[in-house]
Amino acid sequence: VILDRMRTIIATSARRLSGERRLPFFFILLPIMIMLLVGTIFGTGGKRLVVGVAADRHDALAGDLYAGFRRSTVVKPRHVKSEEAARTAVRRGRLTAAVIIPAGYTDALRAGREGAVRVIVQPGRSESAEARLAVGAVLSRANLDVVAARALQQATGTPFDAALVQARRNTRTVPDFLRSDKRVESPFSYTAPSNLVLFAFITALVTSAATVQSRRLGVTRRILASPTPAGAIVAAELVTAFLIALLQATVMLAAGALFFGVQFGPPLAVLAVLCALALVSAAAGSLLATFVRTPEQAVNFGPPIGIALGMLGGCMWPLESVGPLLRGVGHAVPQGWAMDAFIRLIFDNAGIGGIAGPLGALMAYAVVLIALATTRLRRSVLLP
Amino acid sequence: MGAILAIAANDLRRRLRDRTALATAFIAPFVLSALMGLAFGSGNEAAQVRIAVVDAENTAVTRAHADDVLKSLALGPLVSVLRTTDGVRAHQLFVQHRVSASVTLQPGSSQMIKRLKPVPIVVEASRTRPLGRAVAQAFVAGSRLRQATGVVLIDGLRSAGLSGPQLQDAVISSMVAPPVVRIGESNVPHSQNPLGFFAPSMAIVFLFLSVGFAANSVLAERATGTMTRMQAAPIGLGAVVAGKTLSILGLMLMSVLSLWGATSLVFHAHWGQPLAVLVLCVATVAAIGALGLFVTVSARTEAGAQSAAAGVAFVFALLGGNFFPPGSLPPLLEKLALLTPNGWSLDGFTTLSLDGGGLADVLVPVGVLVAMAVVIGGFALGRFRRAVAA
Repeated sequence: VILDRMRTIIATSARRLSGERRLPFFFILLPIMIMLLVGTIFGTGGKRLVVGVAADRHDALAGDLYAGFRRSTVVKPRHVKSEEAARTAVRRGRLTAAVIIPAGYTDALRAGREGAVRVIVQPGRSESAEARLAVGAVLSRANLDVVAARALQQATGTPFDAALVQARRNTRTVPDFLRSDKRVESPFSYTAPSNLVLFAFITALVTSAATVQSRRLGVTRRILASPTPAGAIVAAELVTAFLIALLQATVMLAAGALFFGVQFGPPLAVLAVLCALALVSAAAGSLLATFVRTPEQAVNFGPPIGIALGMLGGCMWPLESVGPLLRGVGHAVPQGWAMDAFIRLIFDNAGIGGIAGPLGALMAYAVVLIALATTRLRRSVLLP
Repeated sequence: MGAILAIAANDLRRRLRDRTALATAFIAPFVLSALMGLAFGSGNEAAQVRIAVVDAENTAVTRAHADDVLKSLALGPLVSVLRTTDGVRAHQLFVQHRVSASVTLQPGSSQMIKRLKPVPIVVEASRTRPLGRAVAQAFVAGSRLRQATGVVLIDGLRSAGLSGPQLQDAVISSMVAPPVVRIGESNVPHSQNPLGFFAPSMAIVFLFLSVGFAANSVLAERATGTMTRMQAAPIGLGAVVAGKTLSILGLMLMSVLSLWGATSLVFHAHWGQPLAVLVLCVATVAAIGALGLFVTVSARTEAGAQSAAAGVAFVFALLGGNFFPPGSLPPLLEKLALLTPNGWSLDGFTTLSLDGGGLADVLVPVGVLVAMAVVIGGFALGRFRRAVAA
C-alpha cells in the first residue's frame, strides 16, 4: 500500500514536471548545445597548436624552419608581422607560442655563428609549454642539417651553402621523431562526461524547486492527512529526484555516444556511475530544498552552486591540469569522483574493477547526503 | 528628481536585504572568478611539470646520453626532472601523480647508444596529463635524433673521404658541440594576475542574472499591487520607471565594483587603469542592463522572465567568451562575440588587464556599449513603462 502511495506521489510529480514547457530546453537542449560548443572549441581531437612565426620571408633558412613547423604534427605555424604583434597575440592567448627568427639568421649560420631563435611562451599555460617542446624538436632537427654541413665544411673545405646541400642529401630521410599523438577517442571525450556531471547536479538543484513549491502550497501537509507516513513522502521525493537526474544523465550519455562518438566504456560500469551520480545529485537537490524558503531561491541558487562545484570537480577543465591543492579540493566534492570514474572508463579503458575507488567515494557521498536530506526533509514535512 | 531617488533608494535597500540578490550579485561572482583564477592562474603549479628519467643501467654512457638529450631539449623552467635508477619508484610516483610521466632507459641501452642504434626507452604517460606526455615524447624524439645525428655525420664524412681517427674526431667534435640553432627564451611577462580577466568575465555573467532577478521583482510587485498603489501617489509613471531602473542599475554597478574591489584586495587582481575600468564598468552595466531589462520585461509571467533571463545569460556568456580563457574562441566565434555587449566588454577588459591599455584604448568598446545601451534601452524602457502601468 505504501509503495502504491509512493508511486502515486512520484507519478503526480512527474506529470507536473512534464507540463513544464521550458524543461526540454533547459535540461536537454541547452546542455547538449553547451557540450557541442565546448567540445568544438576545446575538444581533445589532436588539434595542432597555433604558433606565430616572425621572420624575414626572404631569409632562406628561416623559410626552411617555417616549412619544418608546417610539417610538425603538434604545431601549426602562422606568419606574424613583428615581435611586438607576436607578444600581444601570445599575451591575449590568440597564439599558443611564438617563434622569433632574428634578421640575418642564414648569414649568421653561414658565417659559423649560432642562430639564436627566440621562443615566446606564456608561463603557467601548459599548452604553451607543449608548443615550446614541439618547436624545440623542429629546431633540433634543423640543427642536425647545420651541424652536418659544418662538419663537411670543416673536413673538406666545401663552402657552407654547398656543404648544406650535400648534408641534406644524407639527412633528408631523418624525421623530427616527434610522434604524432594520434588520439583515437572522440574530441568530445572529456566534454561529454563533464557536461553530463555538471548538468546532472544543476538540474537536481534546480528541480528541487518543485519540492519547495509542494511544501509552500501545503500539498505535503495535505498528503500527511491521508494515511501516508512521512517516510514514504520523503522517499517519494528522493526517488523522483533520482529518476529525473538519471533520465537527464542517460539522455546526455546517449547524445554523447550517438552524436559525438564518445565511447564511454563497458555498459555495466557506465550504468553504475550514472546511478551513483543520479543518487548523489538527487540527494544534493533534496538537501537544498530544505535550506531554501521559496522555489525562486532554489532556481537562483542552483546554477551558481552547481557551476562552482563543477569547476572544483573538473567539469570545466581537467583536474590533471590544475595544481595539487586545487586537485585535492576537487576531490572534496562528488563531481571530482564522478569525473575520475568517467576518465578511467573512457581514457584508460578501465572496467568496473578499475573504477571501484571513485564509485565507492560517490556511493559514500550518496549515503551521507541521503541521510542528511532524509532527516531534514522529514523534519520539513512534519514541521513546515 | 527627489521622487525618483526616493524610489530608487527604497528599492535598492530592499534588494540588498534579499539573500538571493546578495548571492547572485556579490557572493557567486566572487567565488567563481576566484576558482577560475586559481585554475588558470600564474600560481597554477600544473605547468611546473616533473618527469622521471629512469636509468635502469646507470652506466657512464647512459648517464651521458640522458644528460645530452635533456640538454638538447632545453626544457626551461616549466619542467623539472627527477633522475633515478629505480623504475618501481618512478612508477609509484606516476601513480601517485607526483610525476607527470616517466621515461625509462632499458637495460642494454649503453650498447645501443655506442652502436648508434635507437635506444630502448619505455614511456609511462597518460592522455589526461598532456604536458608530461609531451615531455616524455620529446625525450624519446631527442634520443632518436641524437643517434641519427651520429649516423648521418659518419655517412656524410665517410662519403667525403674521411676515415679512421680523422673521421672519429670529426664526428665526436660535432656531437659534443653545443647546438648551433638554439632556443633563447623570451616569455611574455606574467605579472598580471589572470583574475584581471576572469573576474570581470564572471561579473558580466552575473550582471545578466542580477538584472533578470531585479527586473523580475518588478513583475512580482505588479502582481502584488504595489505598482497600482504607487500610481495613486502624485508622481508620474516616468518617475516610477526611472526610480526602478536606477535601482536595478545601481545594484549591478555595486556588484561589479565590489568584485573589482574584493579581487584587487584579496587576490591582487589587476583589472587595469582605475579610471578606464570605472568607465568600462559603467558602460557595461548600461548595455547589459538594457538588454536584461528588455528580455525580462518582455516576458508575460515571472517564471517566463526568469527563464528568459537565465537563457540569455547562458547563451550570451557562451557566445561572448565569458566561460573561456582569453583568446580561446575560434575566429568565427570571435566575430560573433562582437554582436554581444559582453563580447565588447570583455574585449575592453582584456585590453586593460592583459595589454595594460588606458582609457583611450577602450574608447571603441565603450562607444559600442553606450550605443547598445541607448538603442536597446530605448525599447526596454518603453516596455518597462507598459509593465509598470499594467
